[in-house]
Amino acid sequence: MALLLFPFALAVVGTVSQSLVRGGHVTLAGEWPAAVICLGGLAIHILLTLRAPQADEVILPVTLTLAVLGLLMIGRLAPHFGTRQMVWLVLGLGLLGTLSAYAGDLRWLRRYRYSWAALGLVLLALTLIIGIGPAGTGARLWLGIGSIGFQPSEPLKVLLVVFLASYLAERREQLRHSFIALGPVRLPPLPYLAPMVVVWAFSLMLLVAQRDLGAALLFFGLFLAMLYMATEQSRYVVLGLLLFVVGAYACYLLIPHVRLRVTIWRNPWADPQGAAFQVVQGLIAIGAGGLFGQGLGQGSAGFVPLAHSDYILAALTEEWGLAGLLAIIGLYVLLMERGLRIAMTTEGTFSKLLAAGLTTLIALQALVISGGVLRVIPLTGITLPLISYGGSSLLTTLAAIGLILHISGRSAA
Amino acid sequence: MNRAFRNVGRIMLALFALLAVSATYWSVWRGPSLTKRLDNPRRLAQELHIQRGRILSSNGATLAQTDMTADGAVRHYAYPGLAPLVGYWSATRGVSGLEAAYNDQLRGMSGHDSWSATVEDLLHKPHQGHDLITTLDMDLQQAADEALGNRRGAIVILDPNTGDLLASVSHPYYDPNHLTDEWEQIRDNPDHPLLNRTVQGLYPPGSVLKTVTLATALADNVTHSSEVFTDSTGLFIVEGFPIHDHNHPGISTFDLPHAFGYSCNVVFAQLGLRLGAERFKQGAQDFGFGQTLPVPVESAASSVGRDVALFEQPGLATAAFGQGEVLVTPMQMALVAAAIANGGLVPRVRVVREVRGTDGTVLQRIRPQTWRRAVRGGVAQEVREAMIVAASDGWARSGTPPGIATGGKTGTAQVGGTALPHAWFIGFAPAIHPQIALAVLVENSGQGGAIAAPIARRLFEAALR
Repeated sequence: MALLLFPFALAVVGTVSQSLVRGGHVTLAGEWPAAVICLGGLAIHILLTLRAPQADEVILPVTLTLAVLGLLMIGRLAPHFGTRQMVWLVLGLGLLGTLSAYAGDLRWLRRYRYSWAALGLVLLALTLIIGIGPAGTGARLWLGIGSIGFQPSEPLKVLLVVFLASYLAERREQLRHSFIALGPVRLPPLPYLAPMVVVWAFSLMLLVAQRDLGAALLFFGLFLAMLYMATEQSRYVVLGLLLFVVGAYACYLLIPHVRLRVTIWRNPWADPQGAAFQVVQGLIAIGAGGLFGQGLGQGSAGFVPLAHSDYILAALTEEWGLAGLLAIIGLYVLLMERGLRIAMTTEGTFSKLLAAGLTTLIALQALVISGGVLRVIPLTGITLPLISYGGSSLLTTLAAIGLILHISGRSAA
Repeated sequence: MNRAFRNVGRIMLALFALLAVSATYWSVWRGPSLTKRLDNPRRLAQELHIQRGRILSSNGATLAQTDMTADGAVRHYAYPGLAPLVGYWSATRGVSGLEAAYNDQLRGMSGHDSWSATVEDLLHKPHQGHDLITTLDMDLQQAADEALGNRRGAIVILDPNTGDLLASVSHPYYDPNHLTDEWEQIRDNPDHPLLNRTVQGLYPPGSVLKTVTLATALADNVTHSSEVFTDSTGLFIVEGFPIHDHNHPGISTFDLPHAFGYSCNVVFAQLGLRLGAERFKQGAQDFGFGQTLPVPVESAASSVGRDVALFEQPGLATAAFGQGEVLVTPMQMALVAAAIANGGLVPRVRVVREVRGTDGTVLQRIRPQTWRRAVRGGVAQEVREAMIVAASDGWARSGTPPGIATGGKTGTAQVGGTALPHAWFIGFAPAIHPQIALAVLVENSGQGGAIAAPIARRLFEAALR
């Protein structure tokens, strides 16, 4: 309970100081976002206490803190997006609460794995046909209903984790010990691998066709991680990495977009006004943050393209400094640690794998986008979980956390 | 499975740690150089938010000031004629001249304790810059601008005792108030209005260089003031190379001061040969040749020419009377005049004498300083007397206002081809206890005595009446 005070305080202090920077005065009505967060957080906490008293106590405060950080930054950079993010947050918290308290024994996820996977893939395929790209970057990743955009690749991630967790829980032993003998060589048991690989390959192809390369990278990593976690066989990892190297190189050769991203990654200074503009401006923003940042509301991260979504980490670093960035990294590490701990202590193969998979999903996503912004790896256009603007992403991540909380609530202490 | 979870956790932890290292690298290690990048738009935003300090003349007249408008800071220049010296401040084009040399003070970034800077930042008050008090005398400045008029050239007026810059003229100039609108025209103008000719323009000096040759010859004892020279033909052949007098006075014997006053090339060629290339070059260096000038803005070094030319007799002979490969800045020649007027000591040029906070407190006082000793006092006295002779009896007469005794030297620098020569004049006034020293250059205009000297006369009058 006490931990919750941190995000509440952050929300209040944050909205108040932003009002001060903006207009120099504070009105009670103007601070409604802080009130919503406090009330919402409190409601979830009460719900969990009543319905899932064993649930982890650290995850909710960490989640709220990250979400508040994102909200504050988005509200400052793009106020109309900020309001929308608020709406998504409220809906997402509702989803989180529902799942954490009422998800039952998760049979409904485990049993219908192919249905879930198919649903995700169909939605993804739809975007190829009737998708829209409101961001104007050419990648048509959204389905639109009226003025609301919905990005199918986001829920697909969770659905894929569900599918993999269920499938791997069932086929675990076969995948661990079987092999096909071809003379002296032991091959992995293809018949058992096949359904997974089909689903997985299909997702990858769709994503590559959509040019959503960040998601493709994420899916690949996720699949590999879950396969390893279920079977504890490092040969799968080795095989997977080899496939990755081959695949990545092929993409580099065949897809101009990939080549461009890699070129910008290797030397952004060659074209700082053109293709590498976002990367360079992002790095400048990070540099401008220094150790302790410019101060809330006082950076000028508006100069970085997509500062409210893909590049929100740069905006946060400019205002909160290196200290802030390290704190955010710390929060994700904390979230990951709690999630994996839940996976280790819970019973039931499916629950274990589901918890571990969802945790890995969130952590990997944070790693990939942060790595791109910090120029450790080429930039990809995915969101920073909980922080970036994006309704689908926020809903999906909160749903995933809801499931993790539910699993933690069901396990014996 | 737990073991696998742990391993995956460890790998991801390692990756997060890598991120942390990378973050520290970009933030701390590369941070400062990233912020200084020209494509960092924060710099521009910051510039527009600073109440930049004013630049004032010696009497407190405002030369440059910043007004804060809704769009940010706007700089106004009251006297465009000073643009080549004062420079410009532009949020998009950067800074030049004094605006650049004293950028930190004008932005209030120096002598400003970090606590009040932090408080200002937190409260979002526009950052206050400091004011510069210059040594410029606006009456003299205006007189000099009017005297040069529409012609291309430069004028430098100094106080020889302190090195204070009283007036600085470089024509053509530009209007720094319209810099952004007219940038292309200004930049591409073939007459280079952005150039500060006083310190950056290099010209053949012609006979005004004889001042340096004379001083060096006297200092090295290759001649003395009472030596008598004979020059009846006005022609002197050096290794087959003919040297002519351009304005032969019509008499064939004269003493050294009159040889100087009548600007006799033949005599000075001989003096140069007597000195030899090494000592001639050294003598010029003692006046400051070969180095950038003691001025706060960017300057060019004057030079007596390449060694390969100087070490040939004809090259040395022509250099000795200011032709050959000799190239000087007007400021260097003004410093020569100032040194002669100041007992042989070349002063540092003082342009800004005080930095003040907006509340009037003096934050920094810049004192007059000597730059170097060119010649010993006795030699300076002799050269001074020669310049007085030139101004009374010699071709520098036209630079002497009625009733005021001055010292001077004209120069007519041949530029080759069909172009008119540059007209030069250097001098000081009054003859006893000089208060001003100056250099006047009018590009491609004619004889020094006819074109440059009358300008000097007007300026001596303006200064001393």
